Amino acid sequence: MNPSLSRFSSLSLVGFLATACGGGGGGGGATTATVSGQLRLPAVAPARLAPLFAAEQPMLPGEVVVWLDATTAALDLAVDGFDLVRSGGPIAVYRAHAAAGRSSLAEGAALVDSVERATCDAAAAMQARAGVRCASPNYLLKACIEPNDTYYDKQWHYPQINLPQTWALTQGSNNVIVAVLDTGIVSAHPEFAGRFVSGFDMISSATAARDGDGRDANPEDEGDLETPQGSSFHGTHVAGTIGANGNDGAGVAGVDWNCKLMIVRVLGRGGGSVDDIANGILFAARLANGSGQLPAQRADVINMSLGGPGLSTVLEQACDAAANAGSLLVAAAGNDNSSQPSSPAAFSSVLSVGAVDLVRARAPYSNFSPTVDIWAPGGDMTADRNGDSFPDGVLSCMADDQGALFFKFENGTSMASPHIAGVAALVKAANPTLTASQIRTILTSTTMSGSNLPNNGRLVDALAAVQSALGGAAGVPLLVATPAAVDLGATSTTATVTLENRGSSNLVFSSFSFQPAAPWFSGLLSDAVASNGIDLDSLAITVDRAGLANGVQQTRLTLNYLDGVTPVTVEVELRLQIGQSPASADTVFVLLVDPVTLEARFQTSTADANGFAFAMAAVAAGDYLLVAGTDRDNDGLIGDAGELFGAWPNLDDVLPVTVAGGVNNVDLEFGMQDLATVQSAGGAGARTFRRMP
Amino acid sequence: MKRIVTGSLVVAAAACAGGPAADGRAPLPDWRGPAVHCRHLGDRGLEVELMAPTAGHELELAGVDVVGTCAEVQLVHRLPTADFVAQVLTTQRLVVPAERLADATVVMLWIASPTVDQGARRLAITTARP
Repeated sequence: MNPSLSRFSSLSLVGFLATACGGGGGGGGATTATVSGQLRLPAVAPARLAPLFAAEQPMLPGEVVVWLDATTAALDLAVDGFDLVRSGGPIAVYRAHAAAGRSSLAEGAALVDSVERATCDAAAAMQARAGVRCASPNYLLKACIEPNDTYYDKQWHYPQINLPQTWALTQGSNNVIVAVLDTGIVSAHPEFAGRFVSGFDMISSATAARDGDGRDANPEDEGDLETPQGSSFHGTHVAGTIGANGNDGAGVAGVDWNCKLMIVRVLGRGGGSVDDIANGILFAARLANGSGQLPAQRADVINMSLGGPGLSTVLEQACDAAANAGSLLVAAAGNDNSSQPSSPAAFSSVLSVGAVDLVRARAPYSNFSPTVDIWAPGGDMTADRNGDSFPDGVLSCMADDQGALFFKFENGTSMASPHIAGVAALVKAANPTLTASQIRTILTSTTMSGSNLPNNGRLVDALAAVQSALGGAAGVPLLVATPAAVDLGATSTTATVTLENRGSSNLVFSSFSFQPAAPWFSGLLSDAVASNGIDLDSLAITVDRAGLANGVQQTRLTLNYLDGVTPVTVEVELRLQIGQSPASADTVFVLLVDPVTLEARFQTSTADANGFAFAMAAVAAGDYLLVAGTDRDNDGLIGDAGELFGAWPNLDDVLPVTVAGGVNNVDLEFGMQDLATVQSAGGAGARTFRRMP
Repeated sequence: MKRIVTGSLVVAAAACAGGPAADGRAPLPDWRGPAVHCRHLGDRGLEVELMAPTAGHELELAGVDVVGTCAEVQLVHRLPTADFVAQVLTTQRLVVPAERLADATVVMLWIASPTVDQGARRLAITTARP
């Protein structure tokens, strides 16, 4: 079975094929039967929880920040329990009387009786007032930076490696140079404004370069016409992951918001050669090369989101020379779903990067050779596991052959490698004295667990790496929950979350809370200290499914810790499904299909209103394919992309159903899948069946 | 996933050959290269996509043979020719025009690729035409 399909939730269809007329049979009996059963829809993606006021986050106690409607002046709310502290423009700050005189969390108060909780309540009350657009406790935003880039909320791949916490420590330095050996760059993309140092076009073939000459000093991407639909502009996407301008209110964020980018063009139409890539490496490392040119300053990090079969000794020599010169080389492990090494990633002087998907498992395409040194998000666009209606790819900068500049999801180890290159640049920024070798050691020794990664592989942890570069903990408590989201699906009842204090302070568990309430949950917190001395708590989660209504149950668990000075909190999202999902608006057609003509011979439909039960009476004797699915686009076909579809006994092993005399009750059970994702994995185009009018 | 195609093939092969083969068996899909899928277009053309693991792959329409109500689409998959390519998954997409499929009601997609049995053509998909 295609491994990418094994992750999809399946829809179980349980049915009977029961003969209505007993006896008869064999070859000539005109027997009929009834087909009946019940359908269940597959699990739906988790809905997003509305943001809530978190009393445990640092704030100015008692203060509520209010955004007033344009027509509303600063309100005098003294009689309502609010004193105006200051105002200007649409924003006003009030102090809540209700929050005065209580203990704070820092003083050891219980959450329910703390000034912080009272402040949150006051903010909620203020938000409900006429003339107030929104309100919030006056949080102190230090420990975590969520950049304000327009599409940052689609960049799941950054929180996955703890970048928001890392950006609170460093956002990079313009003294650090990252070379991008790739297809070149679309330099006009606004995400790169002010970020380039001089690069080079190392492609020796004018045909491959498509710029009318051989090597030159202009690394602009002239397009590789990679597909009939246009060029890949791969280098622009990769460079965007490394260093797109972050927190600038537009577009996307990169890993490092300040590093300089040295673009070295080595991939043209059809790809690149050993000669051009080896010389590109030497150029980036400021070593003598075939172009006769040298950059003003050596690149600290060289990213190569490229690869090829075999181990070229010439390329290895170039990599070794660049590493010896002080550059850290990072390369994509390859997309062949293979354990075979490829170059340049497999060279000992190169940090080889495998790709994980949204749930930290090996992406289905990623190579998994033992030479893979570290794993990073590369995405899996056959899935949408966070339910944001977008494929789980890596979002970064893109262009097209007509000059349009935009953003696009891509997936591959090409996307994983620049995450590592970017984190390496952050590490260098945090501690400029570090050598390339030391940065490599930090990256590979501060990793975190993935999900059963091959060869005991581990995922990069940007926060741990930067903290290590800074000489240890950053002087403040930093609590990290792994994983931060637990989906117990339709059957699981237990899960474990590890809570790790990455900071310097001792943390003592204080309390926990849910929003919304979750009486179905119980947890057992155990305290331990890891071998590296890091305080480590383990939360064993157990859920009781009994009595829960059908649908999705979801809550946000907030764990509160105290270090004597600063309250620290961490949130874990919990989700489980009971029975049928609420995505039940579909009509599901159940067909018995003639296996010779593929025409539907018998049909019924079912829906949530009748519990997805179905029945087909008086089915004539014969062989049929039993299929079921939706027709959401109403084109008369079931099995299209974007629809639910299944067949008996399952999509991997379709067999004819025989209706014959003497068979009174044949249990039929088969799964259904969402073809929106299945089709991307290939092969689904063969599964359309025309339903009956 | 492959076996659902198998189920369809029972029909498709019969249609293409004017009926089941002498042994009663139809050709089974045996494509083992990169994932392929297709969809029928509104103008009755057929869009075919091959999800290549890296840049540098090519998918070419070599021909269409229409026999009776069956169209056999011959595709050629080519590997990257360069030493090194970008490690990004890339969709190679082409459209088989409706007129090439004539009045066929069943379409069989055959692909020849150096990654599968030294370039021998393999059956990837059989699909009923709406």
